[in-house]
Amino acid sequence: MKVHPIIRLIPLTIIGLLLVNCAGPSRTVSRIQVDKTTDISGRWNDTDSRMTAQAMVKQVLTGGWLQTFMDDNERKPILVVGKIRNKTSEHLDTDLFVKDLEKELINSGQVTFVASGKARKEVRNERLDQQSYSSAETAKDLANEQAADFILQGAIYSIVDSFEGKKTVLYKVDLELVDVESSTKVWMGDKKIKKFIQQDQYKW
Amino acid sequence: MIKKLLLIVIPLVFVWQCAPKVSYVQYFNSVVNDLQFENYSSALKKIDLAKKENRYTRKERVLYYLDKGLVDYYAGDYNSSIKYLESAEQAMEELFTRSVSQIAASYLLNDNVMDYYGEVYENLYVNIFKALDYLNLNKMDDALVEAKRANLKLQELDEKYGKMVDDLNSSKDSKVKITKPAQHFYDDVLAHYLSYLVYRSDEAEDEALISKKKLLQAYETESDVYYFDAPLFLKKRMPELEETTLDVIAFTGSAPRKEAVGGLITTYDGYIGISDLSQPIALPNIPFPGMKAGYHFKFAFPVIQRVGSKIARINMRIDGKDHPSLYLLEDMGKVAEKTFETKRNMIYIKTLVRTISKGLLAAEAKKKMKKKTNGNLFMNALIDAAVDVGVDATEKADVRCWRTMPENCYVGEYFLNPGNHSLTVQFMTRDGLLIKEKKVMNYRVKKGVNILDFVSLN
Repeated sequence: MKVHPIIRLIPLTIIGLLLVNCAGPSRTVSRIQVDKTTDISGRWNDTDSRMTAQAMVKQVLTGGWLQTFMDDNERKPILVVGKIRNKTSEHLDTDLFVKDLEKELINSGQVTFVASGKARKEVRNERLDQQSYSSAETAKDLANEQAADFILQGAIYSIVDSFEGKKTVLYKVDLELVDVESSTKVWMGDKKIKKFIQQDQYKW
Repeated sequence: MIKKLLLIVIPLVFVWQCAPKVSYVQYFNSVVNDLQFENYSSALKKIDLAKKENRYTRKERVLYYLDKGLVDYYAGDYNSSIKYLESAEQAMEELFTRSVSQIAASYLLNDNVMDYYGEVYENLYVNIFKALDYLNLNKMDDALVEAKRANLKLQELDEKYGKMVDDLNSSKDSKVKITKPAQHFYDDVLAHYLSYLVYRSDEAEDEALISKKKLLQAYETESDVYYFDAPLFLKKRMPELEETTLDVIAFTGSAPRKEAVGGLITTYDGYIGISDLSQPIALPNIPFPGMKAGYHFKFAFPVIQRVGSKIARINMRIDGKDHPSLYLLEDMGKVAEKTFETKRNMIYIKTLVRTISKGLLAAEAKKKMKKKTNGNLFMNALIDAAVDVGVDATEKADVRCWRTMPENCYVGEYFLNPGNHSLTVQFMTRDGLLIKEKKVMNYRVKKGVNILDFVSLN
């Protein structure tokens, strides 16, 4: 049985391949603008969080509920952001998304905003401390918080379809604004983001 | 002559440099031994030492992360476990992109030259154990993410391996066709069970019912993997929201491992025969167009071997009273066997093709070199020995796998009143001998779902 001449090159090829395999990865670091869109792994990231928060706050503030409330009460509504549930198949930092929502709502100037969750507890502790350690003139009154009129709640969902290194992920963020007193939903909105992620099957 | 011998010897030096050390298996037996005695700190030290001593090379980084992450879970260091298991999963994802140079080298040498990217079952259970880590940290949303990812992967991986077999069969160089075994493993009961618990904890009754339905369906549709009855309590009504339950999960046994099956290929005109297998596996003669008779080559390929568990029953005592034993929920070893089947034929045929190619090349090289020895018997024997040793040394089965994984998962559900309870879990042999007893005194059962996990890797 004749052996093809190319086969004789096998030993040298093996050496070459193994040398390539033993080469380690290299890393470079460069600074970029914080608001620059960066998509590396294809997962939900800071850009998605920021862009979704901006779009959804725009939606919520153009809803009819805002004008109705202001006409009825002659003041801006007081809002609190509640829990945003992660119902996707990725670990998302929903706290970051809540912060982005809060930032957009405050900066809009159209609503009054009260601190939520842990921040409220910390403020209450501070107020209690003030009763013991601050001067009577400067200590803030207890039981004088502004109660929220509405709570913004929601969830992030995802649908994944993937095959052979190609993947589409549809993120759907559902938010709803609930009247705290009557528990009625006064506004509902959603924002979708679809990503196509492709991973090479081969590299050298 | 010397140049030619060097051409064989130099690559071998590189092969030995890059090949996993022979002592890998023996070394990890002692880690598994530590796990059986629940000496987790010693196991973790040995894993770290193994990393330091380069027993886990960069090619085995997935295994290092898996071993480290799982032993951290056994030791109750859930945050560290999440960190390592996350690294393992990310490395597996990155390694979806295969190195062409490594693939080529694996066709010439063996699969050990490739980065270990994890078996299907390893890729699945990494999410299951991460889910358990999150459950222990009371991070329900994150636990659910992991359970969902496990099920998404099953569908994705089945399609991926099917395509790989199709590609190999359509290759012009492929002389032998591989039959594609249907994986039929789209639903993992353990993943659905964890989802069921998380949804119930979250008071999401509809979602919990769907997970339970899927779980029970899997027992019917995948009866070869789930060859036993579904836990009785899961066939009954789902607990009401206001009811309080203690849901116990227990892992036993040692993961199945890969072992090398050695054998001999004998060539005949137009086909090859397999004989002298080190394990009794029935392999038919294989048509091989263009093959000439009279060659004999050694080869080895990996098979999944069950280790078995001494534990056959897990008794539960609550506040001094006997309660129903835990039920077997998932035979993880069987899942490993079933999912490895998808890949086994592909490895087997690749091994045969590689062994034959290398064997023919070596036979030709010997013939050429011997022509120049002028019939010197000593030199001829030296050539035979050098070439045969060289070829045999490069033909090694890839037996790398996640050795710290358990073999079985048992579950139980007990209706209790909220408050403090004393729990005793007894791991028993088939003959009723007590292997291990674990006690949790004054365990605080809160209203709703309470999840508690135990491990005895005997």
